[in-house]
Amino acid sequence: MIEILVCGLMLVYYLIVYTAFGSLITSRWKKEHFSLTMTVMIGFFLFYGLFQVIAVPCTFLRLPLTWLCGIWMTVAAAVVIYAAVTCRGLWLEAGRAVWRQFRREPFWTLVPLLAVAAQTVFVVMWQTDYWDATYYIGDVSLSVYTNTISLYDPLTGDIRSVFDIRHCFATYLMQDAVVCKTFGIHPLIETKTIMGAVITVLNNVVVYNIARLFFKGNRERTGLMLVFALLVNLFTYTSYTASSFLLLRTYEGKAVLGSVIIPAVIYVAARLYQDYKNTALWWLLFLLCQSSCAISSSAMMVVPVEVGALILGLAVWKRDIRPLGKALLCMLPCLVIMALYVASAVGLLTIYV
Amino acid sequence: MPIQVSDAGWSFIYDCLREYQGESLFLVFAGAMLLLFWLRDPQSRKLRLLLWPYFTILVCTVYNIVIMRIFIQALGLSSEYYRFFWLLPIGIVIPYVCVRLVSRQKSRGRKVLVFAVLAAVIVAAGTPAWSRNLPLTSNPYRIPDDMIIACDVIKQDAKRERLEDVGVFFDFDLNLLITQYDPSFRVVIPYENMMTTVNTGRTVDDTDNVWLNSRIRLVELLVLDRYWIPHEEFMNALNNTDTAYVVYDLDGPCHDYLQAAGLAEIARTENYVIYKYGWYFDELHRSRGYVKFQF
Repeated sequence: MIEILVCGLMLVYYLIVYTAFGSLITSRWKKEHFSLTMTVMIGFFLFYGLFQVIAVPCTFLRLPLTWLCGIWMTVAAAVVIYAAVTCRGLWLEAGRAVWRQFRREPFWTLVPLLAVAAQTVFVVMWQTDYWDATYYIGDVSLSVYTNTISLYDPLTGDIRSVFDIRHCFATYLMQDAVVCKTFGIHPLIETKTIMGAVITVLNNVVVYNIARLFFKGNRERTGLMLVFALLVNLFTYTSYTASSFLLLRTYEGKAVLGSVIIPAVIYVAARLYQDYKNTALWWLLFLLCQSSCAISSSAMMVVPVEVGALILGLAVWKRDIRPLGKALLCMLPCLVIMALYVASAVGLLTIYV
Repeated sequence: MPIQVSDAGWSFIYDCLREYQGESLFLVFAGAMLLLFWLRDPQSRKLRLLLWPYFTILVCTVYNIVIMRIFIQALGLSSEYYRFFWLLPIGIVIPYVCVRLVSRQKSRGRKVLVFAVLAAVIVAAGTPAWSRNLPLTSNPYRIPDDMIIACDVIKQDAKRERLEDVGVFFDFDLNLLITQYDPSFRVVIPYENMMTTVNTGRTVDDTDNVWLNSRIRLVELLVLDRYWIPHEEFMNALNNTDTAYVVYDLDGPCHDYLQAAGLAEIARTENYVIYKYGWYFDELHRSRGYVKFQF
């Protein structure tokens, strides 16, 4: 019972932290109203993007995990306090707006919440033991146990001789290790149960934002879209679909790539189709690309293809070549990490532990 | 086993797509919805503007077998190719078109009817996530209770024996989980070693690689049920790997064999029996100078 309570509290913790991080950006946007779901989505990406910037040097410097815990928790606490002080008015107003909306349209306010709750319960109720977990969760467990940052190979249990370039930029799981070390939570509970619930909520937040954009804020249609999205997630199971990763293998960065990052890029691209001269949106696309590599190593290949395909269409439609240049700049973090990975794969780059 | 571009050749992408879709029809469903409704829907013009160039470019690039054969083969990414199918926004297009169809209806009754029909089509055309028959979890770690109980039993016994380096042979399924659940144990069979031996069914070779051959011997007997292996060889393998405990499948055929080899049952869970290796502890006690009383 106590574990269920901890899981619930950690879900709230993550949502507050994402909101605080996101508020740093959305509170400064002049062109649009403050939106809680938009803030959580942006906060999620800023959180992991910033974590990567701090965690990668710590990894290569072979610092103990406790050092990373100290640095990151200080940063996160500073952001939360700063956001709470500067954005509390916006948060209160957003809370009141949700309450007003509930009073006005209780059914269509509850429907999305129930859809998310149903999906979250579904995600955390199964006993999952996929082989990949040996690597991903094993990495978190070993890092916590040995107080190192991904220095041990979970498949052998031995210390690595060289850094795994493919995975060491995807610091998503090391954030889990930081949380486990700081709060004393077991890695299996953090990666499978807590993050399972968090990613499910995030997936729905992104779909909700897309629905709001496509249906111009219509509550009924937005709620209905979340219900259909839930059905699609539940009934498109094969070993390879993004839905199956979301529902059963949420501890992997790939689940976030398929169900949060890729739809979020489509959302930002759709916004760019409306207003491609909006600099804030291009910065948002850059943030998505950078943080995607922090979440999943597969993103270094998949996200540039997606951004390229979406923005090429925009450039052709607008008969303007400049979006292509901006898209290339946005993709740069992915391309740099891909170049490092290719260099390590062909033996040009080896970093010894 | 994922499809390899070297085996599939020109049909690689098609084969991957079939594998991706499995027995369900969600791609057909999404495609049909796009073609039958969406092309004629005036309110979806902007979304079409976004997605059609996107699909076209994807078809010309990552879904183009001419380019992908070279790219995938060069980077050895056959097993990862399916991730490019995630770029098809199934989870957005199907719900979006469904909502458009429902919201076009004038009366509430018709809306409910169309909603029910569309929901039924999604359910009928798809494969549910619970079709994998995963068991419901009974603990927040979302692993079998056997793992938790076995670790508790071994830890308590090891503590009583004042054993710090606890070498344990775990049965196949538990071996996958042990590093995740409790990395303080020394796992006798590393993950890759276990997978290779089980997947290829290999046996010991003639080389002097005692480290590897001992581990293969243990897997042969305890996972692959090769109970014709001489006791002496099995015990040598236990000694060479410093194995103190063995967690063995309750339904396995080698329980008598294990007891004859000096393993004593100390506990059992719902699906496993936990054995303690007598010779290992005899040696441990002897090294500590313990005297064995005999009455």
